[in-house]
Amino acid sequence: MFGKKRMNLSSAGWFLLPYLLIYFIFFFLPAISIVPMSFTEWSIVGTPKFIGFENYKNIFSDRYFPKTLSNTFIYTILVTVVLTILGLLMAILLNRKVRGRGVARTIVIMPYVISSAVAGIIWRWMFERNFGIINTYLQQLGLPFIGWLSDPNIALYSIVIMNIWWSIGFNTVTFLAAIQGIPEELYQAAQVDGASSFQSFLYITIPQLKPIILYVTVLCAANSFQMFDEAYVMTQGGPLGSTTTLVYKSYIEAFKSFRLGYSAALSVVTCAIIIIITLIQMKANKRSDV
Amino acid sequence: MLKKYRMLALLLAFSLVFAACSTASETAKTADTASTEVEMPAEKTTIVFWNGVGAPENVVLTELVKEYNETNQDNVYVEEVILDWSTLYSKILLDFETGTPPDIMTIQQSGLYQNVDLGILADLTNLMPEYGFAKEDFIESAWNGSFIGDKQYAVPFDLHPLALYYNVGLFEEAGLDPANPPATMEEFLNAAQALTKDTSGDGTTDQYGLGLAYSGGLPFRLWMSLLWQHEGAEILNEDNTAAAFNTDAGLESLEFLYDLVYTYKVIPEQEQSPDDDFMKGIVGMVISGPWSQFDFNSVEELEYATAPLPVFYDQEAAWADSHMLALPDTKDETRMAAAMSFARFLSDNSLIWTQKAGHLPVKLSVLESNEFEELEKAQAFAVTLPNAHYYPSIKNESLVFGRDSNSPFVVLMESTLLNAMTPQEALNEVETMVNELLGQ
Amino acid sequence: MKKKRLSLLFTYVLLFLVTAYYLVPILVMVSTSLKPQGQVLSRTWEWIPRTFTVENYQYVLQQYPYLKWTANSLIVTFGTVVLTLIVSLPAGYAFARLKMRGKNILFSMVMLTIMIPFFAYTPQLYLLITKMGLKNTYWGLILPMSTSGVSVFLFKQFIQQLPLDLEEAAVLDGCSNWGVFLKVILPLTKPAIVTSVIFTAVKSWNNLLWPLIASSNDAVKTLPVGLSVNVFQVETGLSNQPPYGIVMAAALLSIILPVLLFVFLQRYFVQGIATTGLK
Repeated sequence: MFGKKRMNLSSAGWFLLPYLLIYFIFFFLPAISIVPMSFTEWSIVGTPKFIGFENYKNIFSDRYFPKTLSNTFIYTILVTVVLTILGLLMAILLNRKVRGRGVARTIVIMPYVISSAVAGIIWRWMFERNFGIINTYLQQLGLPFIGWLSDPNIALYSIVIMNIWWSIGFNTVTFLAAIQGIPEELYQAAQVDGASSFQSFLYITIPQLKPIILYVTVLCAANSFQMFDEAYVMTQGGPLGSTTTLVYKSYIEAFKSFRLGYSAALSVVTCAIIIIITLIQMKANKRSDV
Repeated sequence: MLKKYRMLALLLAFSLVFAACSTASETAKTADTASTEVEMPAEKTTIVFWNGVGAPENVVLTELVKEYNETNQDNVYVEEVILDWSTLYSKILLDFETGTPPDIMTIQQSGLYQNVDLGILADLTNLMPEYGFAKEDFIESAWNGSFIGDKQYAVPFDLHPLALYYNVGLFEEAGLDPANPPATMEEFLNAAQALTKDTSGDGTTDQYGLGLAYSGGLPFRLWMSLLWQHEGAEILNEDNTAAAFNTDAGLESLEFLYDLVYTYKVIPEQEQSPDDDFMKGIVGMVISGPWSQFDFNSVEELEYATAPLPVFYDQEAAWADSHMLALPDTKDETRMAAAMSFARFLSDNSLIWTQKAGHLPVKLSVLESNEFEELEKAQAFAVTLPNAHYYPSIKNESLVFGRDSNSPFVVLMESTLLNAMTPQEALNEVETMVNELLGQ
Repeated sequence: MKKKRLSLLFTYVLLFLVTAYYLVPILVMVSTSLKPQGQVLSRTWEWIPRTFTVENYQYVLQQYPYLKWTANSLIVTFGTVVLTLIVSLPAGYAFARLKMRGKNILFSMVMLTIMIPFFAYTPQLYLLITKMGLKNTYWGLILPMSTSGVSVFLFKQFIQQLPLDLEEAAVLDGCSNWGVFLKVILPLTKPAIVTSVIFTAVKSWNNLLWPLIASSNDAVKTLPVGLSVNVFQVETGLSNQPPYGIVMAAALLSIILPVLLFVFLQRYFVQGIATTGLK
């Protein structure tokens, strides 16, 4: 039994070189500079002023920080869980050999093709409390208005709803592709053994898809932890800071308040948390291999 | 299978070559900072102009740029770049840092101090008289607004104060006289209440007197206007180091707006898009700047008129901002001269800007002209001009007067209008926030 | 037999409900784009426009160099997709099959691209690009966008789960690393390649922030930038409400190409099964 194929270093180098080259120049160098920048005060013009841990102190002593942090976590957990499960189920549904599945697939992914800004505008309009389409129909049914984007307790969840509509295409397509890679023989053998379709799902599909499920959850979590576009277009972080996420705050600090040092510190914190979340997921994935 | 790879390889090669060729030509072009359309003789000075006024008004400036390029005798060619404000304010810093700023750009009065403080803008005090700009020709507030300390940093171009828009048709239906719009607190409340009704007979109010959003920039600008209508009231103290709005005047103004929503119920709760609601005929009045005319004009069924902001308290006052033209400090005399010539042209043609974009002119000659008098809807704003107030000029303008949910005055209005805090609580909270920010 | 028909029916019903849910906002878009501005904001929502009009589309197409923006977007997207594939496929393969000290560290560095918000380093990237003379060029738009580790990650995961037998057989046949890669791996990763193409293309097509900062010049202006700056200000919270009719028309025009791309590519998902070639 061969282990992983052994590739000698030089040939591996050639495989990795092109990517690492542009990665280094156009990502790593600029990105790594946010760490030293987080210890300074800088408004883009002039030289950064060193201020030690001041920015970090300010982040944790900001009265709105706990709310921002919890917003981000709640959003991330909800979106990741729902999108992963839903994406998988949708992929299975759209994989069935039925007529019109091509059309269905296209419709499901169409939202993702729309830019987040436009999707945000559409939903912002649909969600409008007094005269948006959803509340209008609710009113006709005799139900009270819901402040989808204007009620501080609901706004964040409304964004979750919008995001599910918008980005499920990503997960669905990914899972679809992965399902194609599962050899048909496995299912046939299982059928011969008398397994039900649910059992096939549990004992063949899921284990086969493990690497892709990890891929999807890691990406989902990382992306949703960095939620920004929706908050920017639909609620500007409100009402009352209920949809302000770490990244949104970081953006405002950088491009509206021109406090790049503070913004960099926020980015560092955000990134650190994402790294931790990702490591946890990867560990959990490895564990379940046993 | 091999065939497919051949295709892929060909596509690849093609795209790379294509991109490379286009890049080569693009870099060559941008190196010359020349436009792709017009050929110009080598002696012309080319300057770059950042048009940040935003859609839909930007087209008016673009037309003026074109006209200047075709007719000017100064031997100048203007290359226009269209941006939105957000990008403009960030990019100017980035481009200044890399030594490639534009030669002239639009700027708002509210953004002036910050950019001057960062050293971005050139001191125009001596250039202004050279190009025929004199204090006597301009509205005082606009002229003064272009100064930081005793140095002048921009050419005032327009002023846009807040005023009252009202729906003529709905006024008539409610028994109000459209020729006599509300001018006092009492008249205003009267009108608002007359306009608030249940038009469909189902027991719920579906028409309201006034439209006011709970977040964004406008609510707190309105509150500031009300504050300034109190004699002696200010947002910040004299040297702009501390908040001065947590007073009876501030409280009274805030409570008034709160009452409009919750006591008199003439403003819909949790309203997001007052301008839209005005266009739909759902609210009878809305308070906004001249920029709203563009959209309102596009709705044929909407018959509306404008009036100066009512005097709710002691004196007339309304918030305003201005568009101005500033020159980044490139220290290149030839280009700065060219930029000033262009600024001169724009200023001379500010009537066109007013006619097509709606913003108010700041030059007395234009305000007194016949053509301006003909602009019916603009008159209400013109009346307000002498009493227009800018934000206090401070370094952290974007921090203190920002418009996103975390900014102090947005917190003030959101908390109040969404009934999350009492007006006094909100004022206390925001006073602390502002003092913190000013202290930095 | 009955069981099979029931499950088929169930599938159809589910499919129908799902597509209905996804269609509603899109229908809202289409409907709005066909209404004249005055009617867009009527008190009651009407699915069928009272007066059909194409004036919004005309406005967008005539007032603005829409085609030029689209062409720029095409060039940048195409370049990004191609470059991403070229660099990410070999890298993904290496990470999947490589045995090397420090591989995990290297891979974690790649994952950093997913974990740092893009605009966190936008100013520095912009300064770098300007110094390299790439401001306002196509390469200035393509290169930074091809550093994303998303595709590398995808390929790694995908290739990892491919059975080793084929590669071992090829090596025994005397194939070099590149040979194995080209002849064995690539054909098998087609679904993943298609997936990567779709995402990279969509992301690049809709990318607003970077082209906005890095190339506001008319020559290389891409579609989203042109739309958001010239046509409607997406910057919200202001008193300027976007003119919805025009916004929707512009949006619809801009998604035609990506949707076509997907329609064209999605049939590869079916072909995938046939090529797992364990035979």
